[in-house]
Amino acid sequence: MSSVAITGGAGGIGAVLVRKLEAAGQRTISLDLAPNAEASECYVLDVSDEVVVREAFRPAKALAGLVCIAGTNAHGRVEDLSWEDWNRVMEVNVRGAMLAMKHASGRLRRGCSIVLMSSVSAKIGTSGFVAYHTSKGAVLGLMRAASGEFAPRGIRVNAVSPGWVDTAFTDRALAQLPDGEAVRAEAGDAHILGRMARPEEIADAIAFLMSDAASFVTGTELIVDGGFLCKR
Amino acid sequence: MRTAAITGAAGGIGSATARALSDAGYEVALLDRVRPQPPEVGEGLSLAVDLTDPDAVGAAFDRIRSAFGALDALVNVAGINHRSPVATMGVPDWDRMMETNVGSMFLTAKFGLPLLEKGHGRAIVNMASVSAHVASADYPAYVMTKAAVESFTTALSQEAGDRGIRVNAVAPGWVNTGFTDHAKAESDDPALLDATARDTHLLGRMAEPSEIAAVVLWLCSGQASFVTGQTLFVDGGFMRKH
Repeated sequence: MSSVAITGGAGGIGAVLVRKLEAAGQRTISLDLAPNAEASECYVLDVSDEVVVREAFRPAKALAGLVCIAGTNAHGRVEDLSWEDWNRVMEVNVRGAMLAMKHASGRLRRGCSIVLMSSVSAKIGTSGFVAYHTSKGAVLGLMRAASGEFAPRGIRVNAVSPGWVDTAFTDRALAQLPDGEAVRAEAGDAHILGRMARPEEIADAIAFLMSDAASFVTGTELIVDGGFLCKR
Repeated sequence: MRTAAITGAAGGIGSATARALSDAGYEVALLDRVRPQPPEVGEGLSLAVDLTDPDAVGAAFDRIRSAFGALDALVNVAGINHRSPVATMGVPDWDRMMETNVGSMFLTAKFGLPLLEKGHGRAIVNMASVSAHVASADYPAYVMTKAAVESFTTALSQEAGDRGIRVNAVAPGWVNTGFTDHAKAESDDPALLDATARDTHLLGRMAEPSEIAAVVLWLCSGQASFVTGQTLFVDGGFMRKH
């Protein structure tokens, strides 16, 4: 039976996606710094490390899809962000997605689907998160480029761009800010729908893009932001 | 029972959307210039309506309110095309394009919002097009109206969002419908258009109407509960290739 590989499969969005797919009878493989016991298979690894990513994909026979969610954030403005912190964000968010596609590629079934995780952050700027904004723009470029490369095999490549999502990832980013709790209080109002997304709502969008309902959707960014960008 | 109103329901995408919603268990109200083929199952409505006439649209939504009481989804597919460069376009033709492709969405939203507010699904889906982003010497009015649909979708998402209603658009590339056949018939070189249809999409083909309908159905569903104000491209990679 073929599996869906999910990087960041133990994180807020990834764990929900693993649960959703497993409940629907779809085998999943989680690749994450942390384990996820709910996945059929689990690799505890750093997605930016090509050697371990290659080894993790080696035993996989057929893949029914690939979802690249693994991401990290670093607090810092251009003038004070260290080279190492900048690189870490690029390595995980961009290189990690590229490596997962590279080593999953030969195992991906014809007609299946790849979903990358971008963010509304690709379209806006907030002070202090320069690396994250940059990396999410890069993911969109990667998605568009890869959609052309995979199209001859009927493999669709798309991106999901959430607004604020109520996850530990968001909690950690807010904890970096002196006024984090005030920012959280205003986050809901920044969306037309008046709240952050639940991780389930992002997982639903990923599952849609992987389904046959999206058979003509490729090279596309699906923004799941409750009207965040419209409201700005 | 969920309910939906679909404009342009006699056309290729509209009828496929009506079928998809009906198959998913919606009672459907079908609206078009000519009375659409009535739904195969259920107690649905099928109405001939001039969607650019406020009184007619108002009357149609009165009928929908009497029949259904509320609406869970409103899908605006109705649209026409007109081949003419700007330099020689008649003002009445220009106006008719704007009134049919954009004005009709304004009118259905105007009369539909109160019914959607009473429903559970609370979703509007408008038909946009990749054409909004493509220079076209032959069809400038179509390009203009489809760009307007995206902006109308963005604008309405705020007003409707305050009432708990999501508003999105779907932007297809080429779709295998009578609408496309007609453009092909108007073309000086239909064979070239066929080749273009293959070459302009990463997936090497046009969409079938059912593939557009499947995305509309998803946007109407609870699975898209955090998607609003968006134009979702269902274009087989047309925009990426363009």
